[in-house]
Amino acid sequence: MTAPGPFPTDHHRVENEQDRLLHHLGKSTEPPLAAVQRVERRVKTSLQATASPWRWWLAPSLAAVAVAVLFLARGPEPALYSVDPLSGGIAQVRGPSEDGPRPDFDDVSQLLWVARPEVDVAVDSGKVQAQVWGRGPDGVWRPLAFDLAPSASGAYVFQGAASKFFGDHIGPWSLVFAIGSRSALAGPPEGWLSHPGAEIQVFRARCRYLGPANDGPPR
Amino acid sequence: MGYLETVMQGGGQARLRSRVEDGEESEAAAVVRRAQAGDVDAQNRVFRTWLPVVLRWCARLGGPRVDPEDAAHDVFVVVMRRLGDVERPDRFSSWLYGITRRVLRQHRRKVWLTRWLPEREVDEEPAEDGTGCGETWAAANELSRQVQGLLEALPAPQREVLVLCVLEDRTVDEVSTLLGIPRGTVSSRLRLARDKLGRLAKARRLDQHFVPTEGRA
Repeated sequence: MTAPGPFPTDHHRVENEQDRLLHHLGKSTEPPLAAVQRVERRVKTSLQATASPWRWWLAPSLAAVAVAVLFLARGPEPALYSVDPLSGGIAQVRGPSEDGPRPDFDDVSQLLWVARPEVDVAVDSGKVQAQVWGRGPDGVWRPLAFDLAPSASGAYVFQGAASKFFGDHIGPWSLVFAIGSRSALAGPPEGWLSHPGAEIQVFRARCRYLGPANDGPPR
Repeated sequence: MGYLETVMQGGGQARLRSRVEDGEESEAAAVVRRAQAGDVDAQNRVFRTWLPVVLRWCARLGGPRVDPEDAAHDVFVVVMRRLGDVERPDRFSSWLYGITRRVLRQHRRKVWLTRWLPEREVDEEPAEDGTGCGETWAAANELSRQVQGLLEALPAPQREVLVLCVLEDRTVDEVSTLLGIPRGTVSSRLRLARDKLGRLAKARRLDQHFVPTEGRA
């Protein structure tokens, strides 16, 4: 297969009127040399732009460096005790060194969770309840706390040694802090997680329980 | 004079490609091979040889709202980036046509999606480099636009066969190779396209546009 020449003006065979129409279109769509040169310049400019080190090598490299810097400068890893950002709950642990959040819990760690309802969940304030449930490495949900009372500021606080709640179940834990009416909170937490409604607020966190610590007795 | 230069001579040349011999064919393939190897001269020859072809395809198959220069630009950016992927340089035109077809499909889809927007103003000012204004050369007159409208009414497979066989004066064999379809399919599509185009031209009273003064070969 070869490249065709320009539109054949003198030697084409006109078969019928439709072909005449088409040949008229053929003549009027014959690209002038200026158009060819214009497109060639545009293509070469585009290719040079995309082939420049800035576009294909330098820019991605700088972006990778920037991401790495941000990654290193972002502070302590929050994911291990992360809380569902939609819920607004707070989970943290106080270890023996008092040096702030730690990524993992051991049995001397104090589990502290302060949850403050973002909206008024109290359909009937006399029936509002806060519960904390945990699902350990064996996949079983366990109630960790019931009937938490709100503080004067309206926050609900869940606190205690990790080993008190987690026992011998070493491994990843999923924690759920739920505030709502007693009727809404009846039953296991699967229903709350899949159908959180207006009557209930659910805060979630993930952590890893390391078991008994070797760095000294509980304080 | 080599084949590629001969092709670019234009004017009243006879149907050059029908005279092209095997040696000249392989020269075209050799140019593609050298271009693949990074030979700048060969790449420039690929531009000079095939860019006008692609511009014609874009102007004739893209429809009235596709800018042939934009489409040809996009085609050639892909071509130059993927030149190394061509496994059969002797079938370069088929590979090129496949890319053109895909790019035109994208452009046609884009103009279809934006069809309710007002048409872009044509820049009447000459380009800065003095090469004249773009967008005005393709089907610039009313009759050409009407014929383009007729082509648009054809199914795409028939339209491309009609354009390649009649506007580009290619043989059925060439179109068969270019499109990768059997000769019989090309012939039947061509017949259907002619029939439909004739009916459309008659319905729109375009078939009487030319007084038959030209001698028929």
